[in-house]
Amino acid sequence: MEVLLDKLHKVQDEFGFLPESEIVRIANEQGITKSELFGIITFYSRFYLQPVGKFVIRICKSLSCGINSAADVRQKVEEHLEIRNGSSKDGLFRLETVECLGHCGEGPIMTINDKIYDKLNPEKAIEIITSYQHKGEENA
Amino acid sequence: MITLKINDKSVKVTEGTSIFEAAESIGCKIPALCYHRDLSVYGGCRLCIVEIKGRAGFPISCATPVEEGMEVLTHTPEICELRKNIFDLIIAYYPFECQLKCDSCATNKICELRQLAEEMEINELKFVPIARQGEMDDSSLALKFDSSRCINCGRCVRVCREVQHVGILTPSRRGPATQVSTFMDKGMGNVDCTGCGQCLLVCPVGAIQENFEINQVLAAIADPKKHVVVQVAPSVRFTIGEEFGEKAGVNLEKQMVTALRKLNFDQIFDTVFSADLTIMEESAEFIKRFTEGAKLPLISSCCPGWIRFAEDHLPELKDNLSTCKSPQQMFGALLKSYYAEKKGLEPKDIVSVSVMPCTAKKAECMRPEMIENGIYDVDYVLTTRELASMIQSRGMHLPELPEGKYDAPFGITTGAGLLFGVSGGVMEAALRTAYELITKEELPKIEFDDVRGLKGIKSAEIDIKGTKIKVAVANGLENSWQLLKHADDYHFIEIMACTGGCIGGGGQPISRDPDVLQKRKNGLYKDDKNMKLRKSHKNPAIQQLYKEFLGHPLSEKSHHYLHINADLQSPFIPK
Amino acid sequence: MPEHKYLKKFIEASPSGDFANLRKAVEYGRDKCLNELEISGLVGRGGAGFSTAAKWKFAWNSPDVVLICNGDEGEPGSFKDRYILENGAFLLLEGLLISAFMLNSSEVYLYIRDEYKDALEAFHKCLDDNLDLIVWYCEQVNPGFELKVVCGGGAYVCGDETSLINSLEGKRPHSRIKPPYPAEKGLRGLPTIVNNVETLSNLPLIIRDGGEKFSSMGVEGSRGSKLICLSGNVEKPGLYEIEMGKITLEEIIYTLGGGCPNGKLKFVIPGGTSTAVLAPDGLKIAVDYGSLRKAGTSLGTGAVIVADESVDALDAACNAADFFMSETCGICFPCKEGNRQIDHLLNLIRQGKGQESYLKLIQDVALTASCAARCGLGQSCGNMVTSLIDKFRTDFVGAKL
Repeated sequence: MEVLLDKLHKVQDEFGFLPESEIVRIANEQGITKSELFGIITFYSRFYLQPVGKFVIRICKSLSCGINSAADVRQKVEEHLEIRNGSSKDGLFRLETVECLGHCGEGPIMTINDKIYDKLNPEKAIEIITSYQHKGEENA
Repeated sequence: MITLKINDKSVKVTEGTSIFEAAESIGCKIPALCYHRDLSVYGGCRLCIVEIKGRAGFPISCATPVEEGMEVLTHTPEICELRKNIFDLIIAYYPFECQLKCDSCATNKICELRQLAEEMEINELKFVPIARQGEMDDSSLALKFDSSRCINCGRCVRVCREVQHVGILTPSRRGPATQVSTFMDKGMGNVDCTGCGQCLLVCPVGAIQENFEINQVLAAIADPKKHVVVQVAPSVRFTIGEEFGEKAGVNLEKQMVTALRKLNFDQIFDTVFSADLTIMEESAEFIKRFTEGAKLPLISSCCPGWIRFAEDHLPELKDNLSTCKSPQQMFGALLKSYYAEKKGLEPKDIVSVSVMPCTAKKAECMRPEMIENGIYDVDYVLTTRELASMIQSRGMHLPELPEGKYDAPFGITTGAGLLFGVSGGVMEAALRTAYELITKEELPKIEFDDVRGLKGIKSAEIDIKGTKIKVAVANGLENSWQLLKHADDYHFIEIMACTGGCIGGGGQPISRDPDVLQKRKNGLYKDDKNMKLRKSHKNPAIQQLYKEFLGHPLSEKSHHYLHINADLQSPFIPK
Repeated sequence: MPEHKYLKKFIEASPSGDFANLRKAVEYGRDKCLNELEISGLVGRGGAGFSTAAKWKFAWNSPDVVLICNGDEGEPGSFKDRYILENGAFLLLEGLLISAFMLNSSEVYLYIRDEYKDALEAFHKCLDDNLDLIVWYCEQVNPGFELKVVCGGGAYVCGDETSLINSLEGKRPHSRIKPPYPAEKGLRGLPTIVNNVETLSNLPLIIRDGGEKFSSMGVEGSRGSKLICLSGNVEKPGLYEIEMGKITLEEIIYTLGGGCPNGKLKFVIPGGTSTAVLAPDGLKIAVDYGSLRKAGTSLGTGAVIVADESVDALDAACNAADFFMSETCGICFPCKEGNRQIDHLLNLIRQGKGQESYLKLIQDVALTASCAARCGLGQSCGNMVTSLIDKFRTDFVGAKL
């Protein structure tokens, strides 16, 4: 009962994104054209067609977080990383503002590689991101 | 049968009919943009909403089947208001130059937005226009796609998938970013697009158009150093009148020749001549393969959309394809060799233009095997629509022009060559010649009715003095795909990429209406019947050409000029 | 008024169990179970509030029914399904097994949004912990049973049942044209029942306590308890459970949630961003499907978002408009172009380039989408924005126009 989404997740887990050759392979397996699969993949927000930063930061912009000043957090993080939606020059971070992450009682929320950080304020967010920066530098 | 009421009028239709179609059958036109009779239901535009008594909300009529006793209202004030809002929303996010300023728009003739605005009596737009950025995909040699004009109705995507089995187009992304894309946004020229142009025929807003080459042709004509020669495909004469308000199927060949002369082409030739030549070569090829027990079926190769499709989807049939070039390319090759020699011209000074019912031909002429020492056998390809627009822009009304005549030495043609314009025609023309060459006797009945008509797949068994030959014909690439699953059942197969053959080509006046195709087809068969010569091998000009230049069919010279000798799989070389 | 704990009590008391309710269901047989379900009056907790028993009856006599549990919770303000998955996976698992038994369904999916990594892990752990019981179930109760957990790809519209089915089929996940409804023709054309995580989590309790007991809670049309996700400007945000119809929105906000910490309450969204807002004078309203519908809004997913006076109604409207614009599937014109237009008009107003007539245009767009859009997303996209305009017109016209 393996469904298309399983296959896509599996490839993305392995490569960090969906390489073209893998998309062609999966399309053949699914018996659809590669263009149709391209259309399906791009519908979803969480699949990437190019390599992205090592740490994917997602900041919730939905209403509950918005009411609790998520925009301030986002602005500070953008300034700190010098990116808006996109990846940082050093390839360490990718920043996305996303819709509801389902932790509305604990906003503002951000996730880094899907680990949840809640009840943020700008300072706390920068502190967390800085710790990842150190992690990235150590590993490099 | 199901009886229902539409706007208090009783209607009787077969079960499974949609409300939309039922309304259409009594002349009640419900507005729609994504609906297309040849395609699956999409349910996107929502303009075809109706009210059904006893049912909540506004169901869409294209997707709702009729039911016994149903009472439908199609144009209540509330529905009209909702439709107007939906329509206004589309225009609000349309290029700024639109905003229903149709007078200055190049695509106004075909634009269904304009037609709808008229039908719905919209003269004022209420929503606020939104700036829109689009990209032009001009990567294809045949077609270009202006995404800023696209309304995402999904017709091109569906025709490409459902009718053509090609499927290079897809809706991609979502929400405000939704757009029609090719795989990885590579562009139509960088994926397996056949260039057939059926997408162009169904696009309601002219977002897909052919790669225009009018300016290059005009520049060549204006250049005194250039000898500009034009050839016109068989089907064009039966369709070009539609661009001037004539009925489909009316033959305007002679007026068209006059128009071409007035446009200052140096020589005007008929592709029907090289269609006759194709028949000589292809029937010789068939007889050779058949008698020598070589690989069969032989599959026709004159349709460039089909050739592209075969290369991408059916490589295993490579050796079944006829090695004959298409009539357009045979003509081109002759023009830059035999004709140049005869006229004492340098091939590089000849500009060879063709007028085709086809968008794929624009790419075909840039295949490497169609180019020798940097000389293109065919330099520019115009569609029927492009020629019509050239004629119009000179202020000429085609139907009223005096009659003219094609030039020698290619001036004599036969009904067989003319048949290339319709699905089944190549097969019929080839059989007329093959029969007589094999049996050395005259055909008892010249028409092969089994391979005629607009049906997607046709087959027949031909008795050639005791030898049974099984033939099949398909038009539309999905039909062809289905037929070719059983390719081994046949000796000879004709494939045309477009519905109905070239009369339904992507370069023709915009229509996929079966009535229009029917009329175009009838016109063609009627003229075949009236031709003095109806068999390619009886064409004296063809006989002359063999005597003077080629020798005999499949000769070394024929192979050099008229056949494809290399592997087909090679990239295009754009000019 | 203390919190009404029913589902939560079960979750807190028994993070695992022995499938007693499942065994009881098997003893009852599927028809008696359906009878109990019908008596219970359970309606779907995903937002539409449709009778669960009625939905199931469409497919009751079909072989090869597919059961899909919808855990693609994406409605801004909602986190109840995540709560159940993370804390009460066992309850959901038992609910799934009972439902699959009742529906004779051996093909079962749990579709969880990809963002819910902890929830996914918790559910997988629950499956591992209860392997013996599941083996027993597969051998004795529902031969051929297969449960497949699928992670979404990040698309709010997959919360719509037909979009979710397309997603599972490996197609572009936009909604399907209805009819046919999934219960008739769903996944691969098979009759398919799609229910929300919270809905199916009620099944074990209905079997345990009987339909009567369940229906003794709540009011007509809204039986049982409901999980409420409280967020926004509120002292104690979090997940609460209520008995439907027996508590007002005001009590939820003030008694359970402790009210607004930093100022006066301005408006409340009762059921997520697809629902119309209520002003302070509208909060003395019982929280159940019928009462909120009567008040022109909806209980939706039970996502109560509280906004105090620091919140500008225009900002909130822009937030919702942006959400719907980026989450529409893009197939239907009134929704795709309508949301683009609403977003554009609101931003013009915010930039001081607006006109008062724009407010009427927004209402026209919202009406058009609600009448002509293809699915629930489009039909409800204008609810919040238009209600904000109705109730807080000055925030829109005030300084900005």
